[in-house]
Amino acid sequence: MAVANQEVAVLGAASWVGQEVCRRLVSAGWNVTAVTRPKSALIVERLPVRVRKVGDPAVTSRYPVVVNLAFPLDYGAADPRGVNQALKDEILRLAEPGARILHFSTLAVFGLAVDRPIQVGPVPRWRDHEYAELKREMEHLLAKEFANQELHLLRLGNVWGPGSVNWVVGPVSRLRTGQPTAVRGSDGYSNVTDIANVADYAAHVLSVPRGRGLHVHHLAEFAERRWSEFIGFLARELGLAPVAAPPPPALPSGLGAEMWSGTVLAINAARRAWWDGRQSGSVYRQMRRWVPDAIRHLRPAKAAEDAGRFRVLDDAPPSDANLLRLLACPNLFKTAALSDWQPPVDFEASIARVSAWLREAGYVSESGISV
Amino acid sequence: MRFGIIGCGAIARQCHGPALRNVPGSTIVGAFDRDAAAATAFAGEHGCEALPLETLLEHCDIAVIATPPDTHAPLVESALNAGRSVFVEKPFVIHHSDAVRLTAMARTRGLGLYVGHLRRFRSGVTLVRRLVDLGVIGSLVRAEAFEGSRFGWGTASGYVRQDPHGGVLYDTGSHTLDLVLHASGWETTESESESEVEVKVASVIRDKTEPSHEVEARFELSANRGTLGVQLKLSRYRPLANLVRLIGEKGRLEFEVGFQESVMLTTPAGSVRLLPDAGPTPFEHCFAAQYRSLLEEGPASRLNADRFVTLTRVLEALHGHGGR
Repeated sequence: MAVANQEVAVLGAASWVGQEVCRRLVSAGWNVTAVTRPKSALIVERLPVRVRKVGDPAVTSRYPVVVNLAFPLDYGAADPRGVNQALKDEILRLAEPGARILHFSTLAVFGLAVDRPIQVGPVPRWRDHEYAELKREMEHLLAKEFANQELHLLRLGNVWGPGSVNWVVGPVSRLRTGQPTAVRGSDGYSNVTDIANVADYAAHVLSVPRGRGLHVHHLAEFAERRWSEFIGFLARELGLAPVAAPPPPALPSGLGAEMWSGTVLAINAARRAWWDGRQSGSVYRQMRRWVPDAIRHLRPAKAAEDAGRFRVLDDAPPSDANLLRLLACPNLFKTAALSDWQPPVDFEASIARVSAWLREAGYVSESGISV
Repeated sequence: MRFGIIGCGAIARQCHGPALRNVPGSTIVGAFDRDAAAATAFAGEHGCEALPLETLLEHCDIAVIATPPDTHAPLVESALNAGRSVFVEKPFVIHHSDAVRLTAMARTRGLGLYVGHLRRFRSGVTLVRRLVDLGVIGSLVRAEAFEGSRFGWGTASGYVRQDPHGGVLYDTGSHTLDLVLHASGWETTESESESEVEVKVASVIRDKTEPSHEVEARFELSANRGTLGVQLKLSRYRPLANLVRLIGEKGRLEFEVGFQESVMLTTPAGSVRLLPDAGPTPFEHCFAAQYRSLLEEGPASRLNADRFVTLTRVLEALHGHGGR
């Protein structure tokens, strides 16, 4: 559906998905303004969009449609929740009264937490990997702020496609260096969506007003495809054999595991402080999180309430264990998309696009031999 | 040994300062930056004084130049004229003629002149060089190098978007090309005058006028030892394969441009993945190894500026080549 010269502001336009969304919106007829940080300007300047600095007080234009793909990148930093708040404020600043909002919940909500119940609505805020916590928090902030406007939460499965750092570059690097890209005895659901379909779906959602209120969408059109289909394809392209790892250990849960985790973290923090005088933000964050939760667990009623939804995860996805858990994922992230939309890229076309990219990016030699 | 820091931007604050703290026998005596506040900040962080350039050169033994590329040649010359050895960040200098002149100047005066190319200290790169020298893949005929990722380095001066030599070619490409030249043995050597190495540029495609952020180049090096065709692709916009592939008459070697040390050897009989005995060499290790090398090995260091004259010639040829 073509849209004639309507204005849209895109926050997070420099991201891999953001760039694709901008291109697709432009091709659909939108006038796109990329709202970005100065260090990302280099990326968006090559797109056919106008560029506006985040928080620029000199620019006061407001937009009838605001798309947000930004999120706190440095979520191990001092105040990632403050970043969420600032992003919400920036959306508020960009949006004209009654504006339509499209927010991407990329990767995490149904990434590491794919084993959780899939809900068409804001997901309850339980304690989890901080990345996933922040994603949920942002959804809640927006749902509260824009309760009386048209608000779309677009939750994505694992976004794959040409240049995907997480699902093409990462696995290829692991294949090339002999690291595991499969789990012995398990072939998990991929829960994959193609980046071209993501961008097309965003344009489709915005092509006509959908009515005030909260709209929740889930996109993972290739969800039922197993990881072996994607990893196997990459391995064949490179002429390499995937290495399988034993199943990763179960996630720790309960007070005992939490206390042990906290003790290990405390020892590591002390060791690092002595060794090189530096601390990673993640250790501090874990320590901060551990203390109040340990206290909370001393109350039996609360502990019972938390049973089954309490866990400590590694700091950053995808760590080795987290990646292996995803590769063995037994849970399906079912697509919940508008019924009048058909993905323009099917599985075979998606694979072909990545195959072409592997050659263009240099993974496969011009002579046709990969290694 | 007393070091003086010239240029107090991100690389000095995040890398040179911390590295020097871990090199035994080294002291940072002072720092200079045209932005006085940057020099003061660096001095506060590293327990030294912010000094005028002339004063700094009087008080140090080795000047560390960590400024944008266009400023390297005059600063190196000033330091050498002041009788100081120099460790200059990559890229060495912009013009081949300056590289020849300054290396000769350093030799004549008996001073050290070194260029920061930390990737030369990666164990995987050392392994590849050894395999090439042993003739495992035979005579080299072709090299392919791809390096790209979303740019996120926060330079204080913003030179990467403003200076004609701040583009991806001199910035990232100096690293990538050095891996090709060093690992293949095509860097400038003592036994072969670099003037005997000829660079024939076939094509350079860039996304925009310099400073450009995406470049694809094809060129050929020729010398008495033979010819080497090179394909180079660089991007600040998107990920590329981030590997170097050396193709010889008997097989090929492939290794990462980043800090993954495994090397893939492929011959007609099959492939094998090799890991260096030395194990992984993280960024911080390589960065500090540069200082240890110049202090312990002197002119024999693999960072001796004499070894980067061919690289400078190649970069200048590619940068000056017409095309989009």
